[in-house]
Amino acid sequence: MAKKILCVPFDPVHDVGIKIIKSELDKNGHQTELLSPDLTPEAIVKIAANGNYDFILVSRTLGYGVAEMLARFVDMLDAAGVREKSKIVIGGKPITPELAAELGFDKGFGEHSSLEELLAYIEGREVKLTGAGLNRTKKDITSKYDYSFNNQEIGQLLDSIATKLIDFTKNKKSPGIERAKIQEELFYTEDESNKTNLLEKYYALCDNVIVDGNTKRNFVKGVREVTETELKNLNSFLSKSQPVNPYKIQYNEKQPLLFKFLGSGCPIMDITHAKVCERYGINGFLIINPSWEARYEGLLQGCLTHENDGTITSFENIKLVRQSLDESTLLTVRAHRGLNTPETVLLAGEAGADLAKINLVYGSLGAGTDPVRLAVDGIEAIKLTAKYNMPFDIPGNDELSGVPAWKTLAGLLINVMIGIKLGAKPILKPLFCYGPHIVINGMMIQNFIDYNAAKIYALREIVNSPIWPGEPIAFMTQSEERVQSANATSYHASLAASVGVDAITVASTDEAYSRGPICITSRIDSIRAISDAFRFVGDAKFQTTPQADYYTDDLIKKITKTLREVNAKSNLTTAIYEGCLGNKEDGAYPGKFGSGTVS
Amino acid sequence: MALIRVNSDQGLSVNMKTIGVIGTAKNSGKTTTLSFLLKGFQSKGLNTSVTGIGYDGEEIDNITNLPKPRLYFEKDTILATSEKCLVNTDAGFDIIAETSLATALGKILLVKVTQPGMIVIAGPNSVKGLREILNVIKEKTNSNLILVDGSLNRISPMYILDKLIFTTGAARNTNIDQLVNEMAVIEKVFSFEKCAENFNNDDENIKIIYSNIKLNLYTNTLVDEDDFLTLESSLNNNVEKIFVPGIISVELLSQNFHRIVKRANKPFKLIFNSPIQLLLTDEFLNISALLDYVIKHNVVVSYKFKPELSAITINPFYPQLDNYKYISSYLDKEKFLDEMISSMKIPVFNILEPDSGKIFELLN
Repeated sequence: MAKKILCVPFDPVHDVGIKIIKSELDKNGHQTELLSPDLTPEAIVKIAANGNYDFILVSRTLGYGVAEMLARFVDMLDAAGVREKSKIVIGGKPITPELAAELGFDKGFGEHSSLEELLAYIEGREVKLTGAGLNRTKKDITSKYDYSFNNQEIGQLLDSIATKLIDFTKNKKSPGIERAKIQEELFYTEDESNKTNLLEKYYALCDNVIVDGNTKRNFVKGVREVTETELKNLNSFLSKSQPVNPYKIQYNEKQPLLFKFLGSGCPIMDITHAKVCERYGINGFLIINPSWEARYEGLLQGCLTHENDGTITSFENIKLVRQSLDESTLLTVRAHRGLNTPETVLLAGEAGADLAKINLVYGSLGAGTDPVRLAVDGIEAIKLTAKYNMPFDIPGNDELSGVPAWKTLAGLLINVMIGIKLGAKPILKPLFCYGPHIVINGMMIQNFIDYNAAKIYALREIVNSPIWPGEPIAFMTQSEERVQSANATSYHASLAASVGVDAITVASTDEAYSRGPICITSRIDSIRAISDAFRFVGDAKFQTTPQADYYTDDLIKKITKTLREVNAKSNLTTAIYEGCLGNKEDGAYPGKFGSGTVS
Repeated sequence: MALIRVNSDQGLSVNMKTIGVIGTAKNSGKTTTLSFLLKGFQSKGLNTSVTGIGYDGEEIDNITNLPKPRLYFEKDTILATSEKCLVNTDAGFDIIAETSLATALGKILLVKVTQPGMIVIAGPNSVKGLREILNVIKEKTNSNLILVDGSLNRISPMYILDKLIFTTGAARNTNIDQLVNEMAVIEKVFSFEKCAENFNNDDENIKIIYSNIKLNLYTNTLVDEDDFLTLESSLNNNVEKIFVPGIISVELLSQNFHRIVKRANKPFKLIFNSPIQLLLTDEFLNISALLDYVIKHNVVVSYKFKPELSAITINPFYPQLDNYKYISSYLDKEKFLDEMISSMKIPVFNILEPDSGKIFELLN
């Protein structure tokens, strides 16, 4: 039944919201009357008292003394008998149910309220939860790419480099590969005695710290098992928290997907943050493991937490995160950091993760693993990504050590070719950042656009592959001030949308300054900033200067030169040891973890 | 547990008293006063229920970032609050009844505390709602006393209660003289008597009462020239009483009251709904000036509803901005209390001081 509604712009300036609402109420068949914004409270009360309105909708922003003024206005309506016949409702961006109750209104609608919620309240019915759930489908970032090479010379060089590395690793073994094979058997073995035997073999390949943790539950300092109560509370939270009217970050289908890191150390906190981020439209997450984990042979088992950076890689942790996320949300697991690369990919695949993060070059240069060990483990891990049909993303974070962009991009391309040869689906992840080499050599003196765009243009001229800048975008352009960080991130995201990449990884606005776990509000800062940036840019494009074309040509030439140097070596590992893809002057050092463990 | 459909026409038990705590501003000491009263009455063995006309759940003040007092409830206390306030509480409780009333925080439930703890109170936000909740408490519990918490500076629903306590303090104004003057106006507004006439609850509009006839006007407010003309044109020199149930404009009445006096041409009674209705209308000093003017013309002011103004409590605390952050500051508490006491007929207390227990003698 149509309701009679008085719309009150209780604000001399900000009356646009109530006008929009009036229009929508009219469309839905209600009888509305909009007052002018310059009436005194007494005049409004008189109109409300003399008309038989079902609802008085008051629109107001808040400022000094406004709460007291609104409370007095409610009292006047009450004293005039208006509440005997009308419900009094307040709307405005900062309005919360608590504030509405404090001021004496019957209902409050704020920034996060939907028109459907208002209509349902006015029409006296339950809210139609058409917006409940994320209502989206999982995206395959790789589906529209055929990995064909447009640059023939680079294609041939990469083919040669990849072939030599695959040949080099053939028949080589490492404790990491052996453990992955045992883990795989464990997943499919029902027989308890066989399981015991397999576990014994597994522990024989692990460092003592890992054996003690798994057999005696005597963990590395700070690590503990997630309690039953914590899991019960998580399940209770998940069962009660259905996202209603979630945000969508992308303004059009061509704009990139957004990924965020998870790595608070606590899977419960990760999941809690992830669920909030999903509500704000995030498309996927990357689980980041702790640095201490990289040093040990073997992985801890169970649902584990610790007060340290990075979330422990275990089947149970990955599965818990995966099961807690919406089906449409993508999950990638970092695998290349440390001595457990194949096993991590196996666990990720079995736990239902969607992608794995592997870069044989960066993992050897910036992440500390011996190049030979990572080459052997990495080849096996990439094969496993193919087996589990998980694309693998290749972060170019060695650039952050000071490695020139062309060497980093050459490394990414080598991984792409290895992936192609092993039947996997690689994703290029060049940095969108103000990296040390760029700072020193002045490539971004004029602007932040040309050089970042040139990386994308150069990769596109070389190969038809998905591109996902990270890791995160805007690295080295953020500060402790969250608004500045959100702005810087959103500008880089706008550029990513403008050049048409497939996805981006974004940091929270306190990522570098939190001195501990990052806070959820800072995650939302950057998501909302990017969402607005995407709306602002839409399908428009940034206009690069001619300098971008110069940088593109220069990058391609230098990538070619780098690949020639790598190809001149016996295999990729020799090239890494000898600094072809980043040397001591660049700030890159070949890793030592796992040195001498390949047989 | 049954859904209670409440009926606002039921009268309250003569054995059950209602006391409201009204603040002149945020941070004027409502919660501290209510906590003090609750503890005191319960220690005297009274079955006490608590509700409120709004919501005040901040642990930390939204603006000043200073900690705020919270309401702590002992076992067996009866509360009427909104369902969302019961989600996060360290207290245990049993739901006695689910009412048909709701606030912005959900349905109002009647609960009994089973394990002591803190619960945020968000009760009925209107006169009608408060009356209904008081009836539910009467019907479903054996309470001797209901305490009603104010919210922000809201006062409207409180006129149906038996006794009121006003809280004032430095958070409203750090000038003691001005605080004293304001409270003097409140005391003056409450000094007029309850009228002898019986009006029904559905007497919504302004009435002009002659010896043999009662005129009902088509408005219940006196806020603009149209309202005033309607009243003025219906008056003649036989008028005995004028009843104004809705709100008034003090400015309008101050400027034009002489026209009514002229039309009436003899003393008459001016009946307002309640003292609360007058306090809602304007700055306190303007209200005082209007009342002085009205009395000067031998007009007798009275109220349809007249709760007793039992006491005033003072709070010397105020948030002071100091080097970009708020700090807790205090007026000279002895001077503040002495000046209030010497200027008021109504008893004044600083309930954090030792002799404040005397307030219970006034309320019993």
